[in-house]
Amino acid sequence: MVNPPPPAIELSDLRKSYYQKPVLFGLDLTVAPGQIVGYIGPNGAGKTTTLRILGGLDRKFDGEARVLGIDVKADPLAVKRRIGYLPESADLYEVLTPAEFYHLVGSLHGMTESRITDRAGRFEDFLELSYGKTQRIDTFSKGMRQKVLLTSVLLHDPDLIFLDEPLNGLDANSVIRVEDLLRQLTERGKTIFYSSHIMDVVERISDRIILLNNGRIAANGTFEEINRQAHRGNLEDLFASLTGGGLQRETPRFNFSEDE
Amino acid sequence: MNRCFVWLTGVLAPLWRRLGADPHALQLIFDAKLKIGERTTQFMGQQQKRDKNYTWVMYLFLGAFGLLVILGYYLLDDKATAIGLIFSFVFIYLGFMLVTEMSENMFDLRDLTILLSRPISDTTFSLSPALHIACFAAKGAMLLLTPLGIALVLLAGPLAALLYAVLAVMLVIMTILLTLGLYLTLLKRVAAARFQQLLAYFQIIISCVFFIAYQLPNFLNLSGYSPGQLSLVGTWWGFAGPGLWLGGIWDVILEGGSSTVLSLLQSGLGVTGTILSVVYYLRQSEGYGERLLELQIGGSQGAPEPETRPQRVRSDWIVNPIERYLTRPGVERAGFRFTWAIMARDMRFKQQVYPGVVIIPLLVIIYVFREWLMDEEAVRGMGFHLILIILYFFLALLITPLVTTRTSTEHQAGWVLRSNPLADRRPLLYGQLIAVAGQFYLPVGCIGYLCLLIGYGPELLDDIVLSIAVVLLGAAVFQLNDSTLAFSREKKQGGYSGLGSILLVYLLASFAGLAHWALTYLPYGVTAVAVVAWGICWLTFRELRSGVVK
Repeated sequence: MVNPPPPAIELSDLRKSYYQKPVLFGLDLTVAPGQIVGYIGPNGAGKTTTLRILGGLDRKFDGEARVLGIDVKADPLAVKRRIGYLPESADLYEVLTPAEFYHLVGSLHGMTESRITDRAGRFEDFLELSYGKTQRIDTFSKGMRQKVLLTSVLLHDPDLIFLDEPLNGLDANSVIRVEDLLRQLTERGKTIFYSSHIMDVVERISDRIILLNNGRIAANGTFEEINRQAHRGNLEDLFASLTGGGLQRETPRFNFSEDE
Repeated sequence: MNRCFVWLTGVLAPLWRRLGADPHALQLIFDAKLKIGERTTQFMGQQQKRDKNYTWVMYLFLGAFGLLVILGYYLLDDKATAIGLIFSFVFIYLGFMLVTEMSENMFDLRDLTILLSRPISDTTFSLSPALHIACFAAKGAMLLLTPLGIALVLLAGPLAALLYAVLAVMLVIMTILLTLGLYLTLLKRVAAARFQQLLAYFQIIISCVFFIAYQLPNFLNLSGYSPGQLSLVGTWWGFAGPGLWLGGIWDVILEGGSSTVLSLLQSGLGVTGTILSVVYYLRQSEGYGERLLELQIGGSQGAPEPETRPQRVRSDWIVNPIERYLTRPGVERAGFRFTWAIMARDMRFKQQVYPGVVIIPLLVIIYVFREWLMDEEAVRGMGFHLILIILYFFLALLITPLVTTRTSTEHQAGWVLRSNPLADRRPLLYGQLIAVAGQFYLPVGCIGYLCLLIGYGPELLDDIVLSIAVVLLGAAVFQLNDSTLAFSREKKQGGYSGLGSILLVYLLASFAGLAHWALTYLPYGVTAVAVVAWGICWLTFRELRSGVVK
């Protein structure tokens, strides 16, 4: 009898503080493999912190975090070998060419040069990223940089992909391409855990949505399941409703003529 | 102090108005820029810890130098030359500071969005960064020059002190306006798309020139003179720079009886130089805002590619053999390529490293060929200990770039190294070392060792072979001790963090040099130890290469 694969992500009472200030208040979460999970929440809710912990970049936390069955705190290196991590701020060594950047990332994963070149080329073709052979990243637009980052994250065929705002700077056509790519990845059994502020995309492509508010999970389930709690009709309104946004209050009006 | 400068800007309102600027707007912008300067961590283009202690240490250091300046004045019999040399020193110091650190303030593109959209004239717009920079430079100049000004009241009387103060102001004006004017000329003449790159190379070249300028006195054979007899003002040497021209004014006014026609000409140059620097700056600043705007467009991502020949990514004929024969595919090669590429292209890295690296071949030239060039004593007459110092000084060719390859302005991009699996950093560090050696040590070493062999003779061969082993060993030990990932540390954090490893390596090199000297007294001592040193070197490199990414 074959053992079922371990959950892609398992969090148990995950807590994190920055300089005595708590950011995450005991998160409990289990994500099954092969899903696209949208991780949403207002600014400062703790999304990026969670992703950093899951990516093995931050080991200073309390509670338990397991990724693909591996204890993140005990063996972050084993986690890093099997995941792809795209940070929110697309910081790059901009004087490099994309090929040089891919070589660096691919080599860190033990890939051969020919394989790196071949895979990167195919990803770039799919994402419609084209540039001169000797062109450096510092001449790229924001969207092009994001495509370089996405390619570098997917190069080594990771089982679990963490994406922090993956659609930053992409135009509408590119967003469609990336959405399509993410779906294809889940069809191959990959798990995608991503955070985004673009609610309609999250609503459209996520198998499951986790809403984080003030370091706590405010909602967790499919869109339909969450919508049953608030009956809002779309994720944007649902988000505002669950995080105490502007829709519940009347927006005050600014008095332009007060000092006239 | 800043309040005082802002007040002074207000007092000089008629001058600004005459120059075509709006005094009120100028004062407001200047005040805001000073506040920003006080609060930001980016301090005149450099990442700094902006605490008060740091500022006071800097002031104290400059003040102490100011006291040394008094000694310089006291030691020289020809006071005009003393003043000229002191001013030359300040001119070089300020010029160096302006060229290397202040371009970001001169071409602060934030000014475009914040200031250019407001109703202010072009002169106001161009004068505001110049004032900010002048304020910073004036503080440094005051600390260097004020102690002597006070001492002059006692040593030469109030008239001399007053003249000195006027000359000091002229010097500061000339230095700032000539340097910034040169920047503006570049901005005017160079295509926007190429400006940033050209500016960076300009800064590197000027930095190297300044470094060499400090070493130039070593070329002069001053053995026949006592320092007190040195006289430059009033001779043809007095035309060498603005500092000495101002010395000419001193000579004419205070030592009128003994002044020569050359002194008069030099003083004339001093006065006209100051006036012309103002005119030059104002001429160059015309259309400053528009050109700054072009710069933003030229440097933006959407800008069209300039029509130039395709940029070479790297010189394959140099890199390929080093890469193929000295690194293994995988992490070693990735470390090599990554470090090589960034070193070859990151202007900040070049600015930090190149001037320091230039000094080593210069030392070789100075110490090996000085006597020969002067046609006096044979090269062999030079002490062997000097040769040994040079041989071990080659270690700096590896350590200086290796230290700098750990920090970067793009340090945040280091996430890519941290988020990917890297079981052992040593292969990456090995690749980094080979890249540094290939780019700096190999070319300079080939020329330097050859020069030494030609200058000293083939009997130096075993000494060179031994020193190469020690230098490579030192670099490998450094890499094993400091495993910071390449280009992933913020510069302000990097100040002292690698100090332990640096000290260790240089200490070892010093002991090695001493031991080398002792070995020369033993028959075949150097040759025998060279074999052992190469053995240890090989083992250390094997250790560095032993890491395997699983």
